[in-house]
Amino acid sequence: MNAKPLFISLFTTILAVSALTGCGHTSGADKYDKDGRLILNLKNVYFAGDPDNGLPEYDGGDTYTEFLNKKFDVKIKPSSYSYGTWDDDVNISVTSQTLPDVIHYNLKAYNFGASYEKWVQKYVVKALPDDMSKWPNIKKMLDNTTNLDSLKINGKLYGIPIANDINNPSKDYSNFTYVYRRDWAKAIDEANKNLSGYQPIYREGDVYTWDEFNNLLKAFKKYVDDSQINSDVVLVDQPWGFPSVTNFYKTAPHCFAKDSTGKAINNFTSDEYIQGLEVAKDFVKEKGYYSPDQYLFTEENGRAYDKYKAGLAGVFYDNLGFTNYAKLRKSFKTNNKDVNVDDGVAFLKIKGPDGKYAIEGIENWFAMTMFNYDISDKKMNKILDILDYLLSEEGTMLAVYGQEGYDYTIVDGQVVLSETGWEKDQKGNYIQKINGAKSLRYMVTLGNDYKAYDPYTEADQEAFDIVNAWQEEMKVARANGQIRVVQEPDDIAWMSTPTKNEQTQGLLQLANSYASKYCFDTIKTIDAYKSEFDKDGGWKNSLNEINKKLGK
Amino acid sequence: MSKTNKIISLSLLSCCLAIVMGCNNNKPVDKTNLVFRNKNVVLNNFEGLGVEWGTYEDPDKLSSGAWERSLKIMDRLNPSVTRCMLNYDWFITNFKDQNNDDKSDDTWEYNFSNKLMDNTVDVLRYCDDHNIDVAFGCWNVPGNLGADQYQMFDDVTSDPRWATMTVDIIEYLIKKQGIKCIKYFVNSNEPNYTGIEGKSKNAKNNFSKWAQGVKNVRKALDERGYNDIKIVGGDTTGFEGTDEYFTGISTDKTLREQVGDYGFHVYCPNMIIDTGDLAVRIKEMYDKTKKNDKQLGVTRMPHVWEAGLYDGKNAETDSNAYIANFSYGLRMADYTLQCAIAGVSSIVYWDFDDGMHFMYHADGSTNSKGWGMFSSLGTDTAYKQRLRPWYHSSVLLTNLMRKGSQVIDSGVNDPEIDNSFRSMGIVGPEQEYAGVVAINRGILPVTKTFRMANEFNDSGKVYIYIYNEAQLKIGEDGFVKENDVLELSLKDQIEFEVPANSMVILSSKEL
Repeated sequence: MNAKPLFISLFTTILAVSALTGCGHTSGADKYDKDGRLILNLKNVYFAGDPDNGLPEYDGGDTYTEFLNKKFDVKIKPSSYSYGTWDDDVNISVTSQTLPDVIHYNLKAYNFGASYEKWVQKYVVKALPDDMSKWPNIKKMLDNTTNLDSLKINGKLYGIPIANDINNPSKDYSNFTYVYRRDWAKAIDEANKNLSGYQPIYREGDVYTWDEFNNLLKAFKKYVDDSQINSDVVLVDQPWGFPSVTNFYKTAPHCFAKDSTGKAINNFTSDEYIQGLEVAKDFVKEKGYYSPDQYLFTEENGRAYDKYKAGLAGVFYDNLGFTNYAKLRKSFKTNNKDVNVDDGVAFLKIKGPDGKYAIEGIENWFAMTMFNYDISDKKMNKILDILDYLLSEEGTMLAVYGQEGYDYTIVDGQVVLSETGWEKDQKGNYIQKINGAKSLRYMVTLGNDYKAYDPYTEADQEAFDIVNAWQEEMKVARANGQIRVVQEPDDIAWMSTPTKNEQTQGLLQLANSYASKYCFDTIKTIDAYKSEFDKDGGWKNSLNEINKKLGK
Repeated sequence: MSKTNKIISLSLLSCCLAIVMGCNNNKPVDKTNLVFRNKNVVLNNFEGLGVEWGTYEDPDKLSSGAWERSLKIMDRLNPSVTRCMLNYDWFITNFKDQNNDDKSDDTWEYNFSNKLMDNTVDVLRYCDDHNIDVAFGCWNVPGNLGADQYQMFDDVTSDPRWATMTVDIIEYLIKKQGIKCIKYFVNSNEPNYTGIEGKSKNAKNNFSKWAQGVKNVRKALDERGYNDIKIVGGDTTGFEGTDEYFTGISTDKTLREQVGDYGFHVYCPNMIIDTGDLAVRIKEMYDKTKKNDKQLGVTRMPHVWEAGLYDGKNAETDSNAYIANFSYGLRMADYTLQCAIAGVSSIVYWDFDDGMHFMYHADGSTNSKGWGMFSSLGTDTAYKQRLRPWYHSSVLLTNLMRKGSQVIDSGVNDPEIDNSFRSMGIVGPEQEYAGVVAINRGILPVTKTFRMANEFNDSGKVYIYIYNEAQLKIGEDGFVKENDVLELSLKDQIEFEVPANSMVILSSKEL
């Protein structure tokens, strides 16, 4: 069940509903600082920095922001959302009418109608200009954005979908996948190699068929049970991903799927999902692969992550982009000093019963930069000028390397970092400095386009290379039709209907809870599980409205 | 001469030297032959350098012998000034709110019999014994985040109880403990940095509340006869916030008479220091404030009460990643020079010892905040306990730039002339000695000549100190020592090759 980090809370729901009646007109007339520069109040979750890696909050006090202030005759005043309360913070600022000039919203299909559409109707957010040709870099990025038309209301786009990777816009699947203890697999084979008829469980290249994956889990279970490892688990999912094995069966990641006739159905009661759910229940109840406490794991308590990093689990399902993977490697290494980290946190590539990899699909963008309805055209244009610049070659150089002449020079066409601008710490890693250009660039793209040559990547080069190798392998697999991308039908995902808008988030939360209960036997039978979905009219009404729009 | 492997010569004639001509306002400038003379005196009564040495949050963490070691380190640093901050929460007890809107009838008592007060007194007594001026203050109004049990977060320092608490505690220190070194009171730390509501006690602070607090504290101090304790005018952080407060202070004729200085904090991005722009910015702020208050630089001096680097801050540990690098010392030396030539009369570095302050994490763990010159904590690694390079560079400067010194600009520090080399001359108090500080931020050595034209008692010797990773000389006692001593006079022209990325100090006395 892939709810991923939705930060669903009753509070959010209440605020989202209350947001329908409020508006966020607070920015008002243009304000200038004492030097006559236009003040820009920009808020973004990425401005909070990266405390895990030591990078402090972006506060605009750096020389790179100063350069941008000077270049564009503005005064940038950044502020940040806390990641844990991001949705709530945005909704509070809407209802309390304290919106800054630019907000950053975790726009998803499930809250498209409940928030975005309403904010447009209530004049909370301002549309981008119809003609974006003045900002060619942003325009190009928007032109490559999937489902852009679905995000438009009356032909207008009310924000900038933040591109995952402007160099790889066609990537339509996530990094939600598995790592595993390759060292365990090899150790098991080594211990049993002399047994007659023994079939090694480790697969070169870490590619496993469905049967091989099941054999691996079985062997891991025995390994854990027979060894001194004090663990009750071999397979652990991040709570938003549980039970991840349903990915190999289901056809849609969230609430709605389509049947063979194109009619919208409840994904959670579809035959495909039920098939996956039975496997999950078997993994929990009969085989004991999942921890009996898996249902208690939450984002907040981080127990799923802790199990794997502590060396107590054999397989882990997570969002394994570069940053998360590098962090996991570091944590694992700290806790398992005797284990080769490459083997301890190896990407596991599983082909499902249909012989294909199954990976959840995503848009090629994540979250949206939106503009307060009340800001002037002049201010909006100025912000777009800055963002467009940051996407340019010169702006990207500023974001990645800093200022030419101080942080770097170009020698024979190559970037040469200066020792003054790029000093290393005692461990030989480049010291993290706040670079406002890099922070502000997160308002339009997540920076995956420069990761390969970002000097800071050097500290986690092995992690980068491993993630990159996985990406390349999956890219080839995708091109060869070997990946089944589990995606909500586009026409349903961004569809707006009254009940869907109001209830999808709650329905998803309940569905996840029913599935969990079924796996852990609180709901005993599949009929009882299915009947839970009929207890209120939410599913029925939503599906009726969707099918009506689909003409089904 | 051969000892230092540098080109050092006594020359009475400068004609044999290449004169590199720069251009500033169309006047030719000699960038090579630097003469420190009266016309370039910036400060006649510099108030000295120092370091933040506040109350240790958990003195129990100090291992046996650590305090004694810290004092030896402080002895060698020999600061002229320190800033000592604490929390009133540590001492307030039996607080009784009378359950009305009148805060003036609330009552409370103090319990000074605890290790935090003991440590505070130890610090202040040391300062008394060593003639160190202290800016004493309290970080924030008392109360716990989430509780605000004294209901002070709304009014912050304008709350009348703040002034009472302040004077009570100062009075205890002076009358009961005999402390004499408190020269300034800090009316809360960085009042312009309000942080996030719910996460900061200072969230509702603003200039007018701070100003009211100053007025209340001034009145309370005067009423008890502590007229000679001045109040820091600002203690703000960052140029923008400081500008707001300095403008507010300098344009309020009453308020400006109630503060004792123009005090601020600067955590400066590397590039601003490296390019010599820090001096330019401080001078701009100085000139702007001076237009409103002619006593700036006369009776109300500008002071930096927290000095550090902006870049390299680690958010998780509240440490600076540069802190153990040689570059930190060079930048802080450069920072010091630029502040001094811009007219700042004293600079207090942040901070002395990692063991003073801690970062408290959600999982219950703590780490010492790594901004110090060393760590006194036995629980820290040996590497962290070692004296860091910037301690040694600071020792040289604190011992050269003593209270009462004269600061002389080289005349060629304008970054438009040369943004990678800076220099200043120092004549010690009572003209006891003289010295020259030369900082080369370039990647190549530069050869300059230096001559102190102002009067001083010449020892006939020049002690040479070189601060860079290859040449810093540490004595057997673990402290910095001279690279060489030559029978020369700073009154004569001395040619010296200043290595790349280095500070060189030529001094007529041993530092």
